[in-house]
Amino acid sequence: MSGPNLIAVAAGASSSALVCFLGYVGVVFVIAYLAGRARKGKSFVGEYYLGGRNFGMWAFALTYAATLASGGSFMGFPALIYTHGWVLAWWICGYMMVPLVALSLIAKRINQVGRIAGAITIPELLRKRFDSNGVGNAATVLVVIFTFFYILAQFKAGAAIMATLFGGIPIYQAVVTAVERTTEGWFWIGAADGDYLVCLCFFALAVIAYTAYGGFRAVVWTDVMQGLVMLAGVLILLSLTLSQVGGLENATRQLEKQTPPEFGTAIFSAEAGGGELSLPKGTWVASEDGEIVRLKEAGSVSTEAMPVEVLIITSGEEAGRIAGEVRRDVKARILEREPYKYGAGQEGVYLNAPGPHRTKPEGFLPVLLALSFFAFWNFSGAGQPSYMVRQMAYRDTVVLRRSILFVGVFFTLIYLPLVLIFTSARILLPGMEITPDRIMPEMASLVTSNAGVPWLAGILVAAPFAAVMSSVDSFLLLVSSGVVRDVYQQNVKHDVSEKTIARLSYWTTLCIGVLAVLFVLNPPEFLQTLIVFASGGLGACFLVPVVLALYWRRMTASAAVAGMIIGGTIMLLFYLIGWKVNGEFSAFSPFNIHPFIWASSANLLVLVVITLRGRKPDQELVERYFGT
Amino acid sequence: MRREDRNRRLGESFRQASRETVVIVIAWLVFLTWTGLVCGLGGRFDPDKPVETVFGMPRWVFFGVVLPWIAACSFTFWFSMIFMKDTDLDPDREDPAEDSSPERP
Repeated sequence: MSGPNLIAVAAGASSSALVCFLGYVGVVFVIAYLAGRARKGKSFVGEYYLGGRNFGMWAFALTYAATLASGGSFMGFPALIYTHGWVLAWWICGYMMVPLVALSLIAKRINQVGRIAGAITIPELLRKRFDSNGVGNAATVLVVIFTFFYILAQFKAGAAIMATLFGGIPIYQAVVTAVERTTEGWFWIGAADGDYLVCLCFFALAVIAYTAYGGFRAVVWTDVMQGLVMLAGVLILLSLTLSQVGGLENATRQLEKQTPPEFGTAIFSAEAGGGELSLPKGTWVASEDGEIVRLKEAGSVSTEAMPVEVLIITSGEEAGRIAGEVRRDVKARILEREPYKYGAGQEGVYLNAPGPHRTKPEGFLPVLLALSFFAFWNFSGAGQPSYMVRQMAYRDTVVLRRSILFVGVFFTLIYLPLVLIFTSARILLPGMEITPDRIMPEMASLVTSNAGVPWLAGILVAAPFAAVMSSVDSFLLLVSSGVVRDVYQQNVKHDVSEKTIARLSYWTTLCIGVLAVLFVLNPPEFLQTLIVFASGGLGACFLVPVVLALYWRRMTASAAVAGMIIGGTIMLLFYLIGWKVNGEFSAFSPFNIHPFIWASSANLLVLVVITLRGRKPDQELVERYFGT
Repeated sequence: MRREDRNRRLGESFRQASRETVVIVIAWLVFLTWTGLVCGLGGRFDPDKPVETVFGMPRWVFFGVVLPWIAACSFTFWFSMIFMKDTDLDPDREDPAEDSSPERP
């Protein structure tokens, strides 16, 4: 099976796929419109931010699952599987317990306490549980900061997916070229590719518009559709991939022969001599020593050409499959090469733990880090305010029990197949280490083209797009509710008319979305790291205080504030240290334990100590939320 | 509804939720141990040892990830459909008889 280059694959996404995809976006808008109409005549705040606390099993389960399965699940996670191999099955396996831990741990109590308090947001719930404005304000600030980081990552993911789908369409290319010419040299924006800018604007416009108009109900209804699209997309992709790779056993055996590639720099010369040639990003070229390299950026053949970053294929198994794609008119001279720090030259490394790694000598996933990820997925999931809000929105406990089971099956059918698909992707699409975040849409385009159903790429690409949309809309609304409900209504003006709140909510959602777009016009690197940082930060701030606020009568307001601030600060500090030590935005993990565990432990310690040293809370307040 | 009744009902519901939480934490620890032991011991890279497969995936993935995942789904079924009890989520409602989720026996 040969590995086509990026351009060829992008071209495979035919215009019928584009129509299919645009149809999907159109349905999202129709749903948002209907949700906006359904809200008419009801209390604005409760409806716009919580959908009236009346969601049934399908709505609750699918909005929860779809929001949890973010762009990271369909962009960052596949990229990691592709880059590090089967060890990602261990990395993600904590999801087997997520429905139980993230949903059952607090869902009953948070819904109950939310109803008693009449709270619509998590900061408001904490404010009323402790009868303290300080707790509410600290929670609001932390929600807004960490959620904003999360939104940035999701916007980038959405734009990247669209860029891949539209890649081969002439009108789109003309627009991209025009945008690139216009923005060249501009401060901040000029560094971004034209296709990224065009897609970012389109994606942002769509998602901000339907979220701002439709509110929580629109977000939940679209999540239901998006959840089903994700499930269908993954299962179709699984069957196409396994059939094209010759079965899982065959894929695993071929993967066993692969060794990690190397990164380096090279210059190029024309075989026939003379003349200038341009070499697009992704071009395969043979080196003077007979090795095969792939351009990580656009290069050229000329007397003044600068060295270009390249990926060097090291295993004969891969080289044999790529041979048909290599340009015959150019030769590369490799100037520098950098082997992987773990796994270089070793066959079988993609099938085992800890998995190959370019910069870490201990590999991708040492044992303690794997164990801390098992905790991370469960407890950071349980500690996300956006998921907590959903747990305040279901109708009754019958809905909750059925939803837990539904989400369990849903995650099993999403995450295990993703591991099978993207370990096999190394066989179908070699050399994707140059842009690993694009592996999902590239695979969708490739396998549907190979199967003779290119229009299906539209639905498959809609799956990660749906994941990104369903996350970004929820988080947009979360930040908006923080600003309107917890900052404005609590601290600026208590008595505000429904009409004013409505207007304020629309504009706040819009402004937050636009602000996020301005930030990501210059795209942030390390998509998955940013997502893990933001979700880990939210979990480190809120998991312990919220769980204990729901289950520990003795807990005090000052302990809640101290715990949240310590959790958030340690998380931030460990990533800043990681940035300094590793030279890139990444986690600093002492003893290979994820920062989330350190931050949550510190949060717990501080919270318990301050509570036990403080005065007992008011008995009436305790009885109100815990009974007798 | 009298305040004492309201508080008693809420207290019962709180204690049931606490019991369920303890069961979840124990189950989480069991599955953490299962996956950690099997993947940690069976998944270690040994360049001299050929990789065994089960259903096309490395043996350690099947026994350390897929099998416990199936077991976790079965446990989730038992927990949500049998062990977990329905609760009145709104103890301040005037007429608890309207509750759409009555306590199951």
